[in-house]
Amino acid sequence: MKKRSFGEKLFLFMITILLVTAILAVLNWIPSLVQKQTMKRFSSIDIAKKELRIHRLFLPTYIPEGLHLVWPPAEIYAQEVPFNAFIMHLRYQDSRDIGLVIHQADAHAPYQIEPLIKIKTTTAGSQISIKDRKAVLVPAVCDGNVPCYEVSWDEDGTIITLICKCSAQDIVKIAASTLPGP
Amino acid sequence: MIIRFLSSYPGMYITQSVLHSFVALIIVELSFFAWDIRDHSAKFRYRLLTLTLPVFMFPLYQVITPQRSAWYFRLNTALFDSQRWLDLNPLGIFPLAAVFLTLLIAVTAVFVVQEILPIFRERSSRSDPGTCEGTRDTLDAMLDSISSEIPIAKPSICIIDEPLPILVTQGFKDHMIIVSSHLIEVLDEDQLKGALTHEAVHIMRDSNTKTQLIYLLRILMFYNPVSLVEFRRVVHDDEFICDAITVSITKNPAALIAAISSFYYHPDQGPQGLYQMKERIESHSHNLLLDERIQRLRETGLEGHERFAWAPFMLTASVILVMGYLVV
Repeated sequence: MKKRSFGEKLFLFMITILLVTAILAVLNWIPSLVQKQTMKRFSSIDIAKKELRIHRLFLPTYIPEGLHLVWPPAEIYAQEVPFNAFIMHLRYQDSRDIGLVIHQADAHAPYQIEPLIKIKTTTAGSQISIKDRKAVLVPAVCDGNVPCYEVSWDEDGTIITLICKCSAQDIVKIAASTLPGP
Repeated sequence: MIIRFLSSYPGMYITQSVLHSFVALIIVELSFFAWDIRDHSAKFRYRLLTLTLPVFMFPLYQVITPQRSAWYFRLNTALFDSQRWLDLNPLGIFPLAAVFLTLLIAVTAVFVVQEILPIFRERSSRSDPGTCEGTRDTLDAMLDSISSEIPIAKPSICIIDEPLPILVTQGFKDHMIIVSSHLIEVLDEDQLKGALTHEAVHIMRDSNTKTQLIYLLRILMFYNPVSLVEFRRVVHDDEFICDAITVSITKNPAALIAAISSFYYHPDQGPQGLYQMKERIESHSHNLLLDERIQRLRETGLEGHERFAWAPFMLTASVILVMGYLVV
């Protein structure tokens, strides 16, 4: 039997690896056919709202210009199963870094979806009022040793959480703008 | 509760090590085809990848990328996310996570029955397997000649009075070859030399230590179905390797084939109990291995060892590591 050259063997090896990669990709895709409402990425808020029939969504109407954050969000993720959740990531104008994360999740969710901006250390939070809602404002240090703030509150069974690499005043202003009323 | 456990670090370790083993197994088997690997010495090393790498892959990846198990990585970077399957509940009765966990429990049960219980049973019912009846001059001379050809210290020999074909090597530093009187009676001088050379090659390769280390990996992965299979295959590969080296020394494959043939075992057709069934399965797999070894010796004869190619091996190991990183 004719022996294969190293080049031929390498080619064959690469083909088999491509085949394994393709099989894994297909296997990863199959569950989304069975269970369509699990977490996935959407190209726009409207598409996510339409596809998942989301009725209540809290979107910020004000983002301080000085933060240089880009609207609409660079990344939008949402799910209905195992619980309702909507996540938005806002990037800076001049970099690919995420500057603001907005999470909205069912208050009865069995677990918390970890935010993309990692909080390294936190100090004790303080209770504040945002348009008559009781919210908790937590000063923290986020990844890259950047000072950041987290604010969260329960809006009729939906936990809204914002994490921003910005000042306390700015995050409170953004949080307030997600709510109706003056 | 099951989902919560599988989402914890121990749960993720268990899930991902099983997945990594499967991926490694597939890549290694495909490598045999792509790199045209037929030599058992090379197969032994490749199979070790399947056994060793999955033990360390998950902690290694977590150190490199702590966010690797988070949803963001799973959704945007991973090639395969196990949680998508484990969360599925197609019939609405129980999630696939429960099926997966049941499989692991079944494999663990097999491990306990097959590997752990026999150790305790052997210890509790240990009667002396047979006292050494001294040695024989012919065997001693044979071992003198073998140890002059193979770089090993001459092992001691122990003949036991047994009506079964027994030939084993004991010890890690000072080795002793135990041979049954039955085997000495049925094998001629060339066949006996082939069989003893095979044992001497095991000593030269330090097979006992290697097997113990591989067994340790097997114990660490007690729940892993791939380790269950691959452990046996690696141990079998060692037999093929020793056969090939033996023949390259004795230049007499026919004698070794005859010696191997004397180890066929057919249990008595007694009552149809569970123990008898287990014994029949074990003897069948034992005989199959002997068939394969004889077949291999007939095919290769005096063909020498293929030189081990490190480039394909490193490439295969790298692909397993990269692919494993993307399988969460």
